[in-house]
Amino acid sequence: MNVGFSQPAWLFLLLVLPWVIWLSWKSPAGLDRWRRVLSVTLRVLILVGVILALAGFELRQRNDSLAIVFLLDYSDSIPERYRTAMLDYVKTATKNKVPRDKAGVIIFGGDASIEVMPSEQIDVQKVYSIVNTHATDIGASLRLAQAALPTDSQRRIVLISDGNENLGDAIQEAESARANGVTVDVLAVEEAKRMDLQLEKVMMPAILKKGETFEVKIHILASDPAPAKLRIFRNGRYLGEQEVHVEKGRNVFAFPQTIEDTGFHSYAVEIECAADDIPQNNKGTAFTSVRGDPTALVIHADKSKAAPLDEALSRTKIQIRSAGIDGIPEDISEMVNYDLIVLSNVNAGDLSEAQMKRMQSAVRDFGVGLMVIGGDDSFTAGSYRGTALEDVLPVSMDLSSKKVLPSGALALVVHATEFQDGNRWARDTALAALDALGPSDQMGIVLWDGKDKWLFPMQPVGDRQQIGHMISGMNPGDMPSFINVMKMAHQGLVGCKAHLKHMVVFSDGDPQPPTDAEIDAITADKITISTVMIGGHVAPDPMIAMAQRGHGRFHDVKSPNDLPQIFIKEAAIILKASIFEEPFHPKMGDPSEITRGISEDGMPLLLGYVTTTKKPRAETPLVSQNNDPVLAQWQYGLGRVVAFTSDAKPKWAVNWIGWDHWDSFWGQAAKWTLRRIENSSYDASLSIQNSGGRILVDALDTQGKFLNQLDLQASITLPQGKTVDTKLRQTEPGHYEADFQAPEIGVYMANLRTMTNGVLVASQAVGASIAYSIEYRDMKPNAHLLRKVTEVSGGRVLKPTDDPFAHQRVAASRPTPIWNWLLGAAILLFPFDVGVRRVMVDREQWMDFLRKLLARLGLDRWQKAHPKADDAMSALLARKAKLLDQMQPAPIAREVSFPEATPIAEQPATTPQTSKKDEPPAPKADPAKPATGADYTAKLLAAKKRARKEQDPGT
Amino acid sequence: MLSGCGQATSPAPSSKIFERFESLGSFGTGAGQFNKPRSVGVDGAGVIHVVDMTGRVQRFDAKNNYLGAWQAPQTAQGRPKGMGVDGDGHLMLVEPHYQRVTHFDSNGKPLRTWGKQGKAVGELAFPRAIAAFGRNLFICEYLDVQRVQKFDMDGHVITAWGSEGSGPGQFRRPEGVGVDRAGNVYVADSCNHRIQKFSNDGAFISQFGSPGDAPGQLNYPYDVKVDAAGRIFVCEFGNSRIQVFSAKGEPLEIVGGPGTGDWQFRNPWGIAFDASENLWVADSMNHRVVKLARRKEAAS
Repeated sequence: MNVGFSQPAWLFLLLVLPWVIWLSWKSPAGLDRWRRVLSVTLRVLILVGVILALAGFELRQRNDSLAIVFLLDYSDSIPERYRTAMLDYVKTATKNKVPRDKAGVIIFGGDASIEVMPSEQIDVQKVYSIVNTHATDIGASLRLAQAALPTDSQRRIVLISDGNENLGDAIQEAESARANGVTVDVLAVEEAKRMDLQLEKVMMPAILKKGETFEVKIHILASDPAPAKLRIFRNGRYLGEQEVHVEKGRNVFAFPQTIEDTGFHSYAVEIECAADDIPQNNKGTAFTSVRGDPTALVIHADKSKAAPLDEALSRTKIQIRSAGIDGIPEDISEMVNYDLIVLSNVNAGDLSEAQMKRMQSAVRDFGVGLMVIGGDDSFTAGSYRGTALEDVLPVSMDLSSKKVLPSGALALVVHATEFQDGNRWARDTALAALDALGPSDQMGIVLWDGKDKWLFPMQPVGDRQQIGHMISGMNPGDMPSFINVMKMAHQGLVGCKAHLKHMVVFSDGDPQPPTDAEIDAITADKITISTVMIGGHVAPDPMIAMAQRGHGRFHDVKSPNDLPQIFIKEAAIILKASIFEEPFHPKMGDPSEITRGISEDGMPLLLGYVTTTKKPRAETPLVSQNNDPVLAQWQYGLGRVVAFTSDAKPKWAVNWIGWDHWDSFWGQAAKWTLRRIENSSYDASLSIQNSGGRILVDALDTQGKFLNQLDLQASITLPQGKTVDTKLRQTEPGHYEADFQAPEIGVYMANLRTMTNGVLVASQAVGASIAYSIEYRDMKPNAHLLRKVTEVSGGRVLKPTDDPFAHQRVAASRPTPIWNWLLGAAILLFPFDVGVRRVMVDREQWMDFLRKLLARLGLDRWQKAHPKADDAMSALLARKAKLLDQMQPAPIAREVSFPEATPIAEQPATTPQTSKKDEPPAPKADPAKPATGADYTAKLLAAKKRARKEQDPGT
Repeated sequence: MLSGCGQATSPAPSSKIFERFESLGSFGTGAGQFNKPRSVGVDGAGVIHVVDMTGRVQRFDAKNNYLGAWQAPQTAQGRPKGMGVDGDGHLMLVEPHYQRVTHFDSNGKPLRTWGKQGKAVGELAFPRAIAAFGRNLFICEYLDVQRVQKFDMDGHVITAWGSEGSGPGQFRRPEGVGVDRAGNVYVADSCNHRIQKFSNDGAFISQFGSPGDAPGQLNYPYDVKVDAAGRIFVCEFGNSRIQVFSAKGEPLEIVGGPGTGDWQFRNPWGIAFDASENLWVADSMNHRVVKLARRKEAAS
């Protein structure tokens, strides 16, 4: 055991000790010698304690154990069989370690997760951690390992990786590790030679004319010559395939193509090669734009009733593509392919959150027109509330300003499921349902938390913040039975004053289901029941039966990603209360190009609409008798948006379909909404390399001269729908560039905007796609990086047979900080220091105190029983007092420190004295004694006044 | 003494049967750590086996030292739950979602696996728990088929009884099964909140328990075991306690209650006796295994 300091620089403060001692000794405190010595000693102890505490004084115990954290690279570039080998290496290495040594395991890819904390016992049978395998961030794993390693032993990291880092900075973290006393050994994963065909890129012109012939160029990198098959898809549709023979190295294959349809088009290419060991990197995508007539995509929830609208729109010059729900574009590249997108009675749950965000970006950033037509599954009744789609629309789903509308009540029964992150998904889905409800709707959640209980009982959603907090903290348990929780939900719903009541049961399906009679009791109260089965590991029959008998829907969810959308649709069941289903004559509102030539007179009855609220900036050319929006329009970013809250089917619009203005109404609506941005024709491209994207633009005018000093801006839509804005910088004459982060796999689209004085004058779309994880781009191990990591950290490169516990062992010391004890001691001593200097207690007072204490403790009997001793003591004390009187006839002068005042003439020049403690206080002021208290202060003030008068007689 | 498994002991506050509470393990996936342990079993060699939500079966010796673990080969459909000891003293592991039973020797080596998926008698639909009496095995099942089946040691069915319902001999989610020294079979009929007693051939004998938390009442009984003296130990998932009944079904003692401290449980899932009749409890939501050490005078 020895000692040390974590912040030794503070020890320089010890240099002030002599000065403090001198100052304390010389202090005119009027102390006798032994008090002075005691006071100085206490001060020195306090000061030393504080300084040692600041310096981080610690006891250090030597420890010769070694702690190792194994970092296992689970990124996509490491084949599955190597992961097993890594685990086997850890098992072998830890099997024969010294018992006191510790071992832990961290799994990493694009992020890192502690699989097992360092401990003396380790037995890793299987890896449970889930990490992002699409990237490799060695630096992040080194950082986490340093934090996980114990400080009381020698610390080492064993990195098992191919070194193909594409995020972070491993070298920098290795340097940091060394500074922290951690060495990094490396075991390189050396892949046996593998045959690989890699589709590097697909190239084609960014802009085409209708009918123009062009080439799709496919760049393939091959490790060995091999026969292969190329398949080509346009806009997701199979075009054909061709046998080719690739040579070792780079190969380029060109295919002539012609496109007759205008708009934005995608080409996807796949390579198939039997000998290819890494098929994951055999895909590529490219985009092009064909100028010509505008195109529209019309999505119908019910395709069987699509004809009236499709026919009306087809009578314009717009090319129409009509599709069902499954035709909703997945990628933004396909969305911007159209000049107009029409959604007819589409529920928000039919679009993923990412799809809605992409659609929002297509309108806002790319100028695509959007027309949303209502129906009983749209707008407020289609759970648009709180979605990106609501944000785009000129009407809001907030009905709080409306007259009282019938509300709905939704009870969720939530069961902990056994699949990975089941409770997190339960929370996310409940939040999605909450977001879809209106403030006056009611919601409650029943779950098992050791017992059947309400997370929160049925209550109005209100501002949803409080309920949202409760849901965020929800941790449902594994309930044995649905029976009690459904009874509770039933009772809760019965107690609600709501127009529609619905119960949703979320489970993996294994709790005991209720009997038919128990379900019938619920439905008898006009409550519907839907069931959602996720991660089902039992037959779904009971869940199906519950939904069927409960007049609801059964959802067998295969991917948790689908859950929020399912719950949004389930929540919509109680939102039907927002539907106004009575015949009405729409009234003309704001003048609009859409209603040009149409008058209120003769306008047929509509039979219903969905209640919404006009947004402040929007215009409403048609309104209902309640002044609710029927037709609303506005500009959203670069695009125009129209909302028609009735339908375009033979249901609410049955009287409109035969109306003279049916075609012209929809034709004018479509034309007003169409994208109308002037297109620029720069030579522009977007490319993705590793985790970064780059936009390159070469701008020339029609004479081929460089266009300089352009204000070029880009809105880049990432694969998940998030948008990033950037400004392009000019790097050469007519050449502009911009870089951006590209961390996701999928389609990246950028809209290049040419601005003049802040006004948009032209735009152009470019796109690129990452078809596969960057982990598959460069599969060759990066031995140089791994070696460098060992060099900067002081570690070594291991062979698979090396024992990482065996080499370079040094004893470490375990620090035990005691600064807090030192500081505590200093704080405790401080009052004593003050007491020694400020509190005077003489012997008589001590004796008096002791006598009283003994009396209180009942020990004075002993005193009474030994009167002789007491008498003797009294006699001795009396004798001592007498002798003192003889030796010091004058009163004992006590050194009292007063401030040095200006000499005052009236003040007698006598030394101030104090009375003895046993003397009564003087009844009145004695001129022979110094003035005390108020009279003394008054005299000082009077003297001060006189002095001033003398100095300044004029005042 | 256990090393690295976070063992703690505490004397009994008032139990007449148990004198000490020992806690084994902590939350995690490391050696000697648990993630929601759901079943515990002690084989003939005294090796304690614990299976949790990682699908691992961890083994400990009588002094709670970690001996090793093995991973269930398949867990995608669900993890194993349900353990017992066969007539040869070998551990039996039930995998409900894979409809099979595997017997292991005391070194963790699998000896044989049996079970055929199906709802017919002799097949396994969703086997949940297992108990042995001599050369006979009793398996309770729920979900598609609510029943108890009696097998021989080779997995040949001898008889079966039960259906869904609340009447005598009917079940709603039978979660646990135990046998007494006379061969009577006890079933933890969890969603009926009762224990049913049957003869060795499935004839209904008696039942006790009703929903609630008062003495004698039960809340989701998940396991039942009977000691040599005939006392019935019921693991109550819902009340987070162990309740002890006389052979006649009269409440004798309640051990534990909801909580995370000593002498407390959070949704205990399964129980097992060792040779000294110490009771081992899979304290699932506390992520630990508890040993309730028997008082000498209470041991039978």
